[in-house]
Amino acid sequence: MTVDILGNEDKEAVLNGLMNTYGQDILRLVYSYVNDKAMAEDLTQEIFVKCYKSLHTYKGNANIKTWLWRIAINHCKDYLKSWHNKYVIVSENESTNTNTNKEMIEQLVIQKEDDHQLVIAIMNLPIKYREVLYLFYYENLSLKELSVLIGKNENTVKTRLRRAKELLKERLEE
Amino acid sequence: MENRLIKLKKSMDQTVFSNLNFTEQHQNEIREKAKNTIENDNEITLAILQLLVSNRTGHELALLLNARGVSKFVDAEGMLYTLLHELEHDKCIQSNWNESKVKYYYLAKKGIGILRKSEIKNTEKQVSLKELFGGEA
Repeated sequence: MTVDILGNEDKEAVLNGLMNTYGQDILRLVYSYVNDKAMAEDLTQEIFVKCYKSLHTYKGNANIKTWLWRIAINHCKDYLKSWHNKYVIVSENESTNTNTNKEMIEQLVIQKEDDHQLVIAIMNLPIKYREVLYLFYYENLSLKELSVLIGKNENTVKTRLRRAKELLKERLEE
Repeated sequence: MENRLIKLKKSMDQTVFSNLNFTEQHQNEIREKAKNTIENDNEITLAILQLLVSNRTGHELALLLNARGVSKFVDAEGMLYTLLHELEHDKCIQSNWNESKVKYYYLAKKGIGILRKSEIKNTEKQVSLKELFGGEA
């Protein structure tokens, strides 16, 4: 599919298609990076607007899902690196995180499931480990796909996955 | 560990993702924003000409353009001055320094012509035409 020659109406149709097919997945993906519901919703919005604006750059070389995921992942990372995130919303972020954790801990007490503890532990890992775990185990992507998405070679991806699991094990045993 | 990670989808769907939904409202907001975004260079030039119906400084233009959805100059006002320079060189706009040494830009004859042609093509933008020709458009 070439999006080059699309008029505005066609571009809108593509946008609608992308949102219907991948909206929920993107929102979850973004949440896995920012760990905050409101921020995940805002960033998801920005990501789709960005896609709409960049549709003409999509040449059909990559799968459209890969293209969308790369935009989303880069956008999340840019946000996490941004001055705004680091210095402006830090306190707010922390408080929402604690809230989420609190809610989750309550749930944990009620349901007494180890799985939930696992999720909390993952959400507290550094980004580079969290993202590989998420993409590999939640999204069931291959090492090769991960390598394309995060722009690191497969060996690096493997190493990160291994290290992520070690860290996770340590933290769950504490 | 591996066994637990294999069930990660279920675990996350039941916890952190349980009330995370991409709703119709989200979609509508995105559609709205996408439509209001002006990205293409011609449209930006046109937006500048429309805004220069009144005298404005470069900085005012940057702010007004951002309000119209042109965000590319927000952290790169220099790019706007380059574009203004080109427009001035093409005799679409003119500029002047006022008493307090502030540079103002305004439409030149050629710019008015371009604007008028575009307005004929695009009736939606008649508002600024009216502003320019005192409501006679």
